[in-house]
Amino acid sequence: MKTIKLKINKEEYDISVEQNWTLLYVLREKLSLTGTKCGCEMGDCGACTVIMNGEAVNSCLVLAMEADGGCIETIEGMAHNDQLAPLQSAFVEHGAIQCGFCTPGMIMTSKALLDENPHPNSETIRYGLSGNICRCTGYTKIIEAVKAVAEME
Amino acid sequence: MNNASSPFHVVGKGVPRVDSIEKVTGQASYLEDLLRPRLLHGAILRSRIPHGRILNIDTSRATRVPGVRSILTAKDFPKTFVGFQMSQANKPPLAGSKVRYIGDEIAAVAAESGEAAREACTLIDVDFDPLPAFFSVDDALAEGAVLIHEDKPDNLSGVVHKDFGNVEDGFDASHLVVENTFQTTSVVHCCMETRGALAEFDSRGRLILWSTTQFPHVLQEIMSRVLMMPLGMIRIIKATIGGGFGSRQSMDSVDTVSVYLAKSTGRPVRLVKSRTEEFISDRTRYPMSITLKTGISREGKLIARYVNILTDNGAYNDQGLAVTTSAGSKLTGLYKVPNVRIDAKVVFTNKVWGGAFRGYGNPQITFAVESQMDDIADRLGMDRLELRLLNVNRVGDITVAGSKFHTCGFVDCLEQSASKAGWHKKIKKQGRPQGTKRYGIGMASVFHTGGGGISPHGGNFSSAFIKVQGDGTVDLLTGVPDVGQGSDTVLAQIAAEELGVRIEDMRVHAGDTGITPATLGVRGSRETFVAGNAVKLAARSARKKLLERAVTMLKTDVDALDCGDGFICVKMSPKYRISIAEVAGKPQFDGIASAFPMGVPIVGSACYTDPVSGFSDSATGYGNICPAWTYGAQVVEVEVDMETGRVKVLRVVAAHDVGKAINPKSVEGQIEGSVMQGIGMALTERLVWDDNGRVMNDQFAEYKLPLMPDTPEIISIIVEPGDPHGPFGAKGIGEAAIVPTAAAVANAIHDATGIRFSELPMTPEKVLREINLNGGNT
Repeated sequence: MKTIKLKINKEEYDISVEQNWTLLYVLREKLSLTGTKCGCEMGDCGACTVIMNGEAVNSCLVLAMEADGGCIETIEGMAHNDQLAPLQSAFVEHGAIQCGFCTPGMIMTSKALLDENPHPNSETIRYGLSGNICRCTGYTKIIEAVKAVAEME
Repeated sequence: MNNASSPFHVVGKGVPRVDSIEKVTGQASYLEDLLRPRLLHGAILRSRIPHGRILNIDTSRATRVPGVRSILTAKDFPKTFVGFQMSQANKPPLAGSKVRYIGDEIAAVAAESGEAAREACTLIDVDFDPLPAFFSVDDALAEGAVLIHEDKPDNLSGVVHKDFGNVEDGFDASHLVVENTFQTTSVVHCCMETRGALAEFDSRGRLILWSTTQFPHVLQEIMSRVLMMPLGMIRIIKATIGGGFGSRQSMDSVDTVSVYLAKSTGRPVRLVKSRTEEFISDRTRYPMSITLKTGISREGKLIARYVNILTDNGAYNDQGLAVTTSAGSKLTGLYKVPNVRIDAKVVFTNKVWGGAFRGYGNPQITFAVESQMDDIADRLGMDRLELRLLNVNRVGDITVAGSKFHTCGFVDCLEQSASKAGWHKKIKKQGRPQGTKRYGIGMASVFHTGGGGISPHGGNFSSAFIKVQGDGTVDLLTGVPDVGQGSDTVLAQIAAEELGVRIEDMRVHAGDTGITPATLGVRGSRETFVAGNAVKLAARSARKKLLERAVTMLKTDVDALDCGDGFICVKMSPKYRISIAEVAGKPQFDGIASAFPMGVPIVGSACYTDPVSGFSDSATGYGNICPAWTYGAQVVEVEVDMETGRVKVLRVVAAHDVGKAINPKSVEGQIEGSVMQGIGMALTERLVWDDNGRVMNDQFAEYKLPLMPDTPEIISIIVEPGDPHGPFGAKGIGEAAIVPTAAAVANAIHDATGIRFSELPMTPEKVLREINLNGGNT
């Protein structure tokens, strides 16, 4: 066991972790931040995407020890005082959700994309989110939702 | 109170999903998110050989792993099976004497951690006597082939034979007879959440089973028989579910095994499949080899059709016979044809078992039928749209198999999709090269159920409870689990419309056999039609009670009142109104000095049984098995890269008859999602096995699903003829839109290249090989 420091959604944590624990495991099993989903544990589906030090990562592929000292943003940190973030509102309004299992990862990848490039075009959105699988929506309404936020002033 | 353009307040509006806030904030609680005290984690040992007798299972090494609390093998279970229809089920929860495919369950472990449970599985020693294994239908049917199930001669799960009219006479009278063989493959549902179950016994010995199920009440019935426990001792609860697409409408070993692990340990146990386990053991679309023979008149009228289907059932019975029967039956209704014969064999192989998958055999048969329709049109020198229009069914028609059309938007779907896509103009662009790329356009149609139908579980029904709270908000209790398709929202809209409350004031409680009334679950696009009707009736009974109470408050007659937007008003002078909260919150006696006067409860309940459909005649197969048939048509445009074989879908126009869209945005979502699954089936998706029966692409990285860059422009056209029996005229759309897509893509590729692909998926390698065989990029 080793103790690491993580700043998650602006709160600081000291956590004892085993060498083989992933960031996904720590978030879900140790901190009950279950909004981050486990879809494949192989980095293929993007359901476990969180933002680490400003970049979208598959948290199933990040060892907890590698994240030591890191600044993590998860879906639980998106809304503030019951006020949804613009991306969350756009997903709701555009019907970009069905089963919802991919939704947290989609939103976190979209946030990282928009943080870096606030006004991407459709192609940039489509390729930027190409690591996130959705089996329900056919992606169309997700693209529309992210585009709507990208077009906000 | 009514809006001039629409008679409805809530129905027909694309309101956001009622579960959208919890889903965008990460608060929605899926099976893996549930916390239970003293929870144990389960794991399953699966067979690594495709076929063989189990000689011995030694668990002694595994029991020594720290944290292991229970290890079960078949000897710990009564003789029982898992599957869909218990009369046909032949899959033991854990393999007893034999394993029949790589992935077959052999033993199960419950431990303090998932890691310990998985480690223990690797230390269970199993001795096998391997048997010859068959990975194709032809090999399994070969004379003298070893039997996969000793009680199933010739490795046959079942056969289908149906005869309508006289096909021999029909073919004799035909001007042209066309025969082709088509092959579809094993497509996997790929729900983003893998399958799982969490079992727990309470202090009175009652079982609570949280399951990723599409049919909680049916699962309760099955579990009652399997566990030999009374129904009332079993409570099935669905957590938030991460996709179903049919896979979750049959029970799985995880359901039974988690219960026995919980029983043997006295603690709650959760079993969740890994992604790889999901790929190798959790059902596929049934692969079918379809030989289709069609006789056509000189004018292009269909006269006779004969189909011979060979279905790869996989290792066990789930729904192979029912899906094959359903596939064959679609031949009788997609177009008008007076003489039809259907023959089919459903064959066991040593591969993962198939199951229900969105469309229930229809995407397979429609790939064959609609590919062949284009060939027929070309041979007759007819426009492909005109040939289809010549053979359509219309309102009032009854098919040769007895299907009746109370409404029929087929012609509208064909004409509107073609018009929106610019069919007549673009068809002239066919094969026109642009650099290395060629453009093509294709169409295909669908005939499907839009309201479930008679099921082997005894009917086509649903029930619902409504409670109006004293603050004017409403609880709706339905047995239907929302697996992502949006039934919670659509049912809430139907209740809100009938009651006259706002959608924001609805709460939906779904899919818990302990509190919600029974339904058949999410199957056969039945939720909107069947459960919607039950909800509407329950809401109507609650509404009647509200109005009767309001009569004394507004001093008028019931007939003079109307509800909407949370108020009850006098129709003739709407400013005389009273809020539903005031009505529902009215105590039994006025004028009593109380700080908390409680309203006398307003409740409504109903059970709806579909009055239209019935069982088909067992001898002839004749009958109307569905209360509301639905049609659709899709036009697909593609670009084929002649140097790489890569097919890019540019645009899809999808027109579907949904009767009436309760939530148009949700209908679009169903269409868009279906179309993308159809594109996956058409171009990339299939399981691949090595020579020893091992699935080689058991991960997302190797099983190629459509991704966001693959998304074409998808234009949905919602055709709304209104169904006389549907709630507010609605029919279901959950399955129909996947049905024609693969065929339309194949037809567009044919249009672009002149090459007819009869086998799915049309991968770049396959397309390129055919292009080269046909003279390359010329």
